[in-house]
Amino acid sequence: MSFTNGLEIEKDDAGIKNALWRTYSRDDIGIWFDVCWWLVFGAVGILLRFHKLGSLPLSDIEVENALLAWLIVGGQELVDINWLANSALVYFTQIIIFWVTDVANSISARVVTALCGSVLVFTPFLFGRHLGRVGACVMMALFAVSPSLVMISRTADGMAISLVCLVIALLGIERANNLKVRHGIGMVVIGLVLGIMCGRSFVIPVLFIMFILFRNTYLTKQVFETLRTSNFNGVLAYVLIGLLVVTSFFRYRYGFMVLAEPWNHWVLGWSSYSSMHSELMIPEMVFLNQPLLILLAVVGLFISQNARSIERNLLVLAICGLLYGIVYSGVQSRDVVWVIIPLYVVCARVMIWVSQSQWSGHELIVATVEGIILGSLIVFGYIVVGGQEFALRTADYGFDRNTIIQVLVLVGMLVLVVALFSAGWSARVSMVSVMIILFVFSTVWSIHRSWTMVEATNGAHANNWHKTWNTGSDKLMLKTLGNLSLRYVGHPREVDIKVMGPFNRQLAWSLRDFNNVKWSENPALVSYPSVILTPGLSESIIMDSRYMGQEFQLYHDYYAHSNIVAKDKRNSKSRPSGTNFDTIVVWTRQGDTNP
Amino acid sequence: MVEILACLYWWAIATFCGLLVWPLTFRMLGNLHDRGYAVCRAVGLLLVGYTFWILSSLGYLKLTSTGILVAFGICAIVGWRFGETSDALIWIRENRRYVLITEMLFVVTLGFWAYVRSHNPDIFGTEKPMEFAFMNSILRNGTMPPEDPWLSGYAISYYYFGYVIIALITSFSGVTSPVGFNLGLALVFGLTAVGIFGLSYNLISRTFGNQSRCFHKNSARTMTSPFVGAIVAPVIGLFSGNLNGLLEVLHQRGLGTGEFWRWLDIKWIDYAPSLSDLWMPERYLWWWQASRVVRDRNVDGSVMVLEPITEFPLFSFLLGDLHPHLLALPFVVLAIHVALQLYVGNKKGASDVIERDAISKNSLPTIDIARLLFFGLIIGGLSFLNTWDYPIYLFVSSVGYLLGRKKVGLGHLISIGMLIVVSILLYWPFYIGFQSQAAGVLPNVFYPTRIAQFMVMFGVLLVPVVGWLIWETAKYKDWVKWRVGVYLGVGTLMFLILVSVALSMLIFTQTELEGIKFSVFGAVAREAAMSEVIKRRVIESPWTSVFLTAILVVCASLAISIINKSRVRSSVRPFVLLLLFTGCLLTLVPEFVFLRDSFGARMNTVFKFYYQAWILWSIVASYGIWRVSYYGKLGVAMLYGTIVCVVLFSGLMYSVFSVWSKTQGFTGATMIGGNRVVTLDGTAYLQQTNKSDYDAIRWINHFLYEDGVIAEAVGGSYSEYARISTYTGLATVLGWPGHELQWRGGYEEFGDRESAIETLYSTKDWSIASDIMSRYAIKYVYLGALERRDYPDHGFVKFDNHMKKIYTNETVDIYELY
Repeated sequence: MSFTNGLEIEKDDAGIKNALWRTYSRDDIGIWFDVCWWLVFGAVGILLRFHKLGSLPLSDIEVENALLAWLIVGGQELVDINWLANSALVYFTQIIIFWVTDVANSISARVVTALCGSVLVFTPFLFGRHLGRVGACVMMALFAVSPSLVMISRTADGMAISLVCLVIALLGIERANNLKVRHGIGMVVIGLVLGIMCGRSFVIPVLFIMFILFRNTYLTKQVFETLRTSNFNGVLAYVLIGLLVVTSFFRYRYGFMVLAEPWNHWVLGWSSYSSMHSELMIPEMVFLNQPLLILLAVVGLFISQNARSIERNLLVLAICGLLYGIVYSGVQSRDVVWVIIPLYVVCARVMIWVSQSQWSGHELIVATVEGIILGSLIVFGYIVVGGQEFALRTADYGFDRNTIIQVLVLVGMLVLVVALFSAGWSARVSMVSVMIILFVFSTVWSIHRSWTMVEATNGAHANNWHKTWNTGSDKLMLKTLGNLSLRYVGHPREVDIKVMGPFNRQLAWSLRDFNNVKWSENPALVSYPSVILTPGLSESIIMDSRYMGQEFQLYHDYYAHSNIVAKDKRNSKSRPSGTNFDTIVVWTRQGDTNP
Repeated sequence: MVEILACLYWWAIATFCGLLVWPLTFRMLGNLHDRGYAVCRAVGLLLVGYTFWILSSLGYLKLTSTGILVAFGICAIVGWRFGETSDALIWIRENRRYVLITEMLFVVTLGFWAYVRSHNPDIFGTEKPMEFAFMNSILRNGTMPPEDPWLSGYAISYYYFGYVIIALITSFSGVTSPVGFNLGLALVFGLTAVGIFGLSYNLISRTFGNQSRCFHKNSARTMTSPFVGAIVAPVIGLFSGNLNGLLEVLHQRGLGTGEFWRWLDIKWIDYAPSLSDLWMPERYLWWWQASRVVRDRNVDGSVMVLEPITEFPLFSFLLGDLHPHLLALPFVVLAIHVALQLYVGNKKGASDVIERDAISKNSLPTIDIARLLFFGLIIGGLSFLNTWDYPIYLFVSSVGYLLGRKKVGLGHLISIGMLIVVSILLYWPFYIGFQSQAAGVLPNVFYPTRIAQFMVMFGVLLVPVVGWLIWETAKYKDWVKWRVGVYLGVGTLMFLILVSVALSMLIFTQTELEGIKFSVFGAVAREAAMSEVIKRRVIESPWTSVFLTAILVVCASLAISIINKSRVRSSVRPFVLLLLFTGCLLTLVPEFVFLRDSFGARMNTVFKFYYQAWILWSIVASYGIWRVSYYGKLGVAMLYGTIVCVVLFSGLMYSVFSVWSKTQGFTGATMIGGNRVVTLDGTAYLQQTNKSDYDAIRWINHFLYEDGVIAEAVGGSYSEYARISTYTGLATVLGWPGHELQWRGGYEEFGDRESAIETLYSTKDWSIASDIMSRYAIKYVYLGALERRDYPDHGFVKFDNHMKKIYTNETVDIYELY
């Protein structure tokens, strides 16, 4: 019996290339297999991206865009905005969504991002020429269940859209290289223009594309020649559209600055002062979420007889991404994609090699047995070392010697099993079995990680992605304010609210539905509003005795940087060095039924 | 080390701006020998500054690194789109020597002046507080138009573009504003030096041909290669002083009779000196007098209080005022480059720079929009940088353009008209908010400049210029057409006399001009005026006018003659003569008329016009020196060279001694804690003179993010009043009233503010104080040593009772309004 029954495997030794150029026929069972594969993993990917999309509150980066979009849709004056949004395309799409649906919440703020993330799952299909059927399927599966890509798709910071734009640009480069020059260049331009409007997350893709163009002088010359001969007319159209988008039809004039802000932010990020994350954040995320995949990529490359320079280049890219994540002070969690995407491509190409293997019935049985043994060992290892907790403890340098020994023993047993099967039957069969097992388990592990992060409303497993999570008190506070509003003015959203403290975006987003919110740092009460919100731990605010307060522990964690030197701090009076809004006190006037 | 790095940042940013627009400059100034390389930094800074300013005025940008990056990006796109990138890069490769020399010159001059400035960095005295206040206001506001820091609620009514450019670089480089102020001076120095060098190189090279080296049979002539010839220009124009330096030294040594010094009649050296062994003048601020060499005396013999100002570039840099006339210098030189390009015209000799080839005589010429905008941006920018310069260089550009045409037609006049329109339209947002202090023209009746004093001022330049003119005339005497020159030169003189007479008669006959009559004629009656005029202008001091008129005649004659000869387009001499002619006009005009301003005297007119005449004549002088040295017979060249060297040496005496004196022998003029400090921080001196204010200002700059009006004591100009708004950029109710009067042309906007501030501090009644604070939107009240000295103590208690104290130190309290 041949494992190849029903699968279109070339029997020659031409290698990957033939598999790549294979065309489909209607009678192929393989087609149905592919369709099912795409449907299943597509559905999984979409589910992971949309399930409980609004469970985690908007992060600081997301709020910058969402609040701006909400203010624009609400027709409010933008004169007093003292922050710069970080992604023009994000807030432009949010404006459209808010306006069309008349709903502005975490879900509607993230829906476009989730859509883009879902589209990204299917993009390997577009590179079938280079990946082949098997490679495209493998990559698609990895994209669908990747915890990092799932979280990127659930965070409205422009990264998901950037990746889609990068795909468009890379497709354009590929087309241009295959002699469809104008068509390809047009796609490159579209990808670049849209990507630049995505903000900070497109800085690395721009550098990457520039690098490609720098290496490919023919293509670069074609690009410049095309632009020149077209007299820049097409570019002008893109620029005009871009202007309308970034300024939201000239409502947000500082949209120009939003285009340049990513570069300024990226350059400043190299300064060690701006470092907000541990240097090991990216390695931790990579090794935590994709340990088996890394093993698959490295081992597969090592043993693959068809390893080409392209795989090695991809591995180098992944290492560069890793180094970048360690060295760059301003690294964000989304930067993990620069490590894992090259890894995914390498894995896809390794699996192509695996899929080319020819099996006899006997070999199939041997491989299956070996796979079962390996799988059992891996499961046993997970149970023994506690899985994620071990990785976390290790990351915190909390070495547990016993656990380490157990892990080493397990690894030893894994190696022994592989060696035994290699020696006893066939190294090729043994390694292929290892590859398949690694792929299967990494996929399962990814699904598990993704689902855990998606399901956890307290953000416990997504702490690299979100710095805030719900305590439930925010909803309680909003409900309390609604009730107060009804009591005072007979309408759930019209009560006068004064917030004492510097303007805070997250809180402003929470209070967006209330129409009479005023912010003031002045602790003295010149007038007596119905409701006052104060940061819970403020020392400089002493409330009037007519007010009664109730404290809420919110999800919010905001603090202001301050580099006060000791002497200046001594001379500073009544100037808080920072305002902490993770606890809020809601003050209402005592005994008032009518304000 | 930090400040050296800051200097490097500024060099890098300026160079980056230049490289951004180099392809564009290469194309636009394509007929110059160096393709505008020497001025590409100035072009870049102008374009970036303009882009930022116009977009910020429209509300699209703020003064942050991001906003500046947007401006960079737009300029890069424009430069790439409309320039010739590949040819520009090839040119750099082929002209490495010139590029290297230019770059070295820029680094050396920038570094040198930063070094000089670090030894006398204090931002105190003269106009520095005003300039620093503007700069800080722009940095704090971040939007255009910036708020007037000395008149809260109003925008700056002044030509502030230069401050925008300096603020841009300060913000982008991350240096503090006091360091940025001094680096701005160094940057302008470097840009001007390089620009003048480039201009001179272009003129010489164009005369010389395409050869970059000059080899002559006589080895002495190898020194006259274009590079050597061109380097003389910044030496004369920028490094040299006037002859007052020599006179000060001679007076210090005790040389010269009392009669001579009294006859010379220059303040502080108008008496018989005593013998001395010292070379360095000892008198306090002796170097200041070089800017006051012209002394006007009233009819009764008394000295006029408002002395004409005879500044020149080195003095301005030495004084350290980042004033508009200094900030505009690199762009003035850039404008002259534009004028030269317009003069030289299209390479192919067809039609002109602004117009593309006309199809036939009957067709309207098509317009090269890119060139029109580029030139309009540069010429028009002068009005925003230093308004006085705009008409001068518009004149030079327009006349230069016409001079360079074989035949002047309607199309050329239309081109000039369009250039004027574009140059005004591009800066329209500035004109809307600008209130000029000039209010007409008045006649200068009794104050001609004495030739001796005129030569003290311009001798360093005029000796080589006149020498060259004489040589040129002698060489080409056979075909010089004198008649046209006489008509032009004498006609100009007559015209000015007529205007002066007409204005005088108008003043005497119109009763509504009674108020002006006294400022122009003093107590002299109408009947006596004529005899007084004849006595002063014809008998006592006619020679300056005569001298200048003679130069005008020779200039015009030579220029017209050269133009009428064949191959006119290859000669730049008409253009150089135009510069000389313009300089003469600028120095002749104040002899007869002056612009009416708040001073009511010709002080400011002399200042502005003499300053530009210095620039123009320094270029002419360097060209003349090279021309005589290269083309003259050896004997003549040697004699001429010797005289020029002596004169130049005399001028450089001022440079050396004044810089040595100002920097205390390069030991540092700033004292802190008994030690001399070398620093670029212009506010460092405050640590010694007023530590409390220094600490408070530092606190405000670090921690008072929210804008708001700050109240502080109001006092006179050129004093320590308005120090908080000056050093922080926060707007105050009223800064220096005298300056606001000049800028606004009257008291309407700020009439009662001074008394309101006095009431605010003095009154015990909080409701009165509160009312004042509401009226002027005062958010902060500053109570420092000056306020405690000027206002009674009993008024301060209310601040403690009704406001929140946000800062306190030994003598300063800052309050914030609830």
